[in-house]
Amino acid sequence: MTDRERIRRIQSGEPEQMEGLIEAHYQEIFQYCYSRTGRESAAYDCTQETFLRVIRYLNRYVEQKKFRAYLFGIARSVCIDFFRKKAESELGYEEGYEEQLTQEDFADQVSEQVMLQKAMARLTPEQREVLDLSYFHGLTARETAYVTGEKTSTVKSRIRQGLKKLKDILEEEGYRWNG
Amino acid sequence: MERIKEVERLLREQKKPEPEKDKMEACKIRMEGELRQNVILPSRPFLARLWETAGYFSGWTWGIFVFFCAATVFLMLKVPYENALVVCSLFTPALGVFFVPELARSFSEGMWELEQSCYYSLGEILALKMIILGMASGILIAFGAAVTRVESGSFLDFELWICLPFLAVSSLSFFLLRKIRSRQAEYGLIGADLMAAGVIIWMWSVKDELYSLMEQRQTGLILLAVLGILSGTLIFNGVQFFRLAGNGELVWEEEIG
Repeated sequence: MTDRERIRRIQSGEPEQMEGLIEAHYQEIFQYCYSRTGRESAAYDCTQETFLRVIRYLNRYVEQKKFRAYLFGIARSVCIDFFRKKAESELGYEEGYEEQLTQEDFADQVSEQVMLQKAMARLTPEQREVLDLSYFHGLTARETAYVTGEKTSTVKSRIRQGLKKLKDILEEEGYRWNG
Repeated sequence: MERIKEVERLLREQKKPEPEKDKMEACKIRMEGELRQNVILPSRPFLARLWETAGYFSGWTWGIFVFFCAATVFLMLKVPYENALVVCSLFTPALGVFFVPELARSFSEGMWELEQSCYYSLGEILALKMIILGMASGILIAFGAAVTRVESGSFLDFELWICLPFLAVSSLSFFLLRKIRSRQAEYGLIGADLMAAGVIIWMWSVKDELYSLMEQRQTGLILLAVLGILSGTLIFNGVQFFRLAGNGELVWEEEIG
């Protein structure tokens, strides 16, 4: 069943369809919120708030873009609101996923991932966001532009610049390229 | 190029934490509960939404509207018809210049981002604003049409001195807002208004020749055709503005510094 069909059914009074919607999108929204907030607890809160907002304004929802891009747009606003409401000092320290990664056994993959995360941290937040949305979450440039509220040409430009900068940083850090 | 492809591969294969199953299940239960409690906000009547949106217009916009209304009534009652018509035709382009930026306030005030997850979608907010401003302009334009018809016995004065500048400047205003996606658009609108005022002043200087031309049937038809084209461009530019804003493609450049 497509998202569109599920939403129509929810709007027609079949609340159980929400389960399928959450099954389909919970993980990616959680991972997006984690990228934005850097904290697992905040990511869970923001993910739940995202779905809550979808429900509360469901009667207003008219499909213009894919539901997935709409959902990411809401998640982005939720994450922004999250930091507006809480000062950095209130958030506390949480061990990051990168720190957990170094404890795992897949040495080469972990090394790649850790180097990538460190390199990503050196990009601008805007570049990081568009690369994350485009490559990890698989949104098109147009969908990414919708989510971030930028022009499509700006998104494409940031992707190009971000990729080049990542390559340069990885080269600088001595990354072992394939081939 | 190969290295860029490898960077792309790394980005696609990033490792991110996976959510715990019980958290997802808890979320499902919570959402189903919300839905069953009917916390979906009910539709509000159209007039209620219109009234609510009108409340968000700046005081300046309503002040200008009231000023235009009062000035038009005063001119028509107290000033000789021809002088009143000159002033009204100079005022008319200003309607587009003052009203159209109200539609762009979501962007000039940086609110579009939050409005993506608000009660109303950004597109709905713009549609309501367009209806309200359209109605306000319509009242003024209709009043102008009625007075010119009564005073001159035909709609020619209305078409030439009120309709023509209003449609031209309003259409241009939407176009400029779409293309100049920053506060500089407002300067563009002021420039458009000044240009229109200059054209109107020139038209008044050759008024007698214009009226002689208008007496010919073909010229009258040409004027109607021009008004039709301008109406079309106004609708086209307005729809494009609305479409781009609703799709999230109309993004204003942030001010630097």
